[in-house]
Amino acid sequence: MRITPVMMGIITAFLAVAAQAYLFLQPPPAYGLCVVCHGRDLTIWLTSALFGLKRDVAVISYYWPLLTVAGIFLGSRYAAITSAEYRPVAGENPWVAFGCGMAVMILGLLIMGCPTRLLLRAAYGDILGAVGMGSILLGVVAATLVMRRRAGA
Amino acid sequence: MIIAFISLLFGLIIGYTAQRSRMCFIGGMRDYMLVQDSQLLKGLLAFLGAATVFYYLASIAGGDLYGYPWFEREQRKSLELARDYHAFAACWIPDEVVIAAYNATKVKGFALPGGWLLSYTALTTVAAGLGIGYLSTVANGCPLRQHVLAASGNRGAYMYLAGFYLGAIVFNYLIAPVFQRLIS
Repeated sequence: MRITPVMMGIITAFLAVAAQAYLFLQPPPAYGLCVVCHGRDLTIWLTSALFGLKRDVAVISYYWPLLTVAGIFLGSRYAAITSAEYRPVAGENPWVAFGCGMAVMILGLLIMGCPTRLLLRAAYGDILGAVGMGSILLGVVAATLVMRRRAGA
Repeated sequence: MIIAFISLLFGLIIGYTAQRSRMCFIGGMRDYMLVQDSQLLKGLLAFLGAATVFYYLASIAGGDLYGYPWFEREQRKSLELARDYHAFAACWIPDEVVIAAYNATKVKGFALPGGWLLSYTALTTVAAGLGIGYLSTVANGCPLRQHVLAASGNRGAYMYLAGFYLGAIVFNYLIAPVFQRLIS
């Protein structure tokens, strides 16, 4: 069966809401799915467990870390292998990707969420979530305008 | 420990569907801007709409949505309830963790004429949102999509993830203490 983006959006929203409402994935509220925050929780939980540093994570992942990001990686690896889409490619410039990854993580922790959690927060009734999403939209528009100008020149 | 398994299971499902649908939240907006392809944008809007509907339904159907709809005051109330709550979920949270999270929800910022308060959170939200939008477009996808790309064998995405998790350590131990000192 082919999974369309609309179906993926609805399934993901259902899981993220059910995780908070019925499976104790809070506080903070609207924390059902966030790649940035859950990734931070897992990384900082591991470093603090290994090196005895201060454990500055969300309240929910103080005792046990959230393994969402590991699940996403393994689940998509399984999907890629079963659909014969797994093939090693070079991708883009590794150092640009490295810098972008680090900057997106740092900015994401400042904004308290990745695009996914900002949408969840907006749905939860947080105005700052909607503001952040609008701000991200402006950033994407600026980047596409720059890309177009470079392609045209 | 239950929550770790639940999040792993949900992550597996989300990762599987994300790979099959090639979903990307930044890519939705980018594709619509560049080539008027609304396929992924529909997924983004479906996520937002479905989350709104499901949150509303869960709030009617007795789900534990503290402070729904979310405002700052209710968020603090949810932290006060956190300790009882996690006793139930077989996790014990130390007092100082809850108190630190409680203090972090206090609104600080510049006073504006007319009794308004421009909070630091609002400023960082706007500024960081612009940066995330720009850099995610340059990096060719949102963090979720980069995990999926790395899992399908893209070496650039592996470097993205390396920077991503290193960034968490850099922020937590180097940048966040400076910010906290500036604000307080």
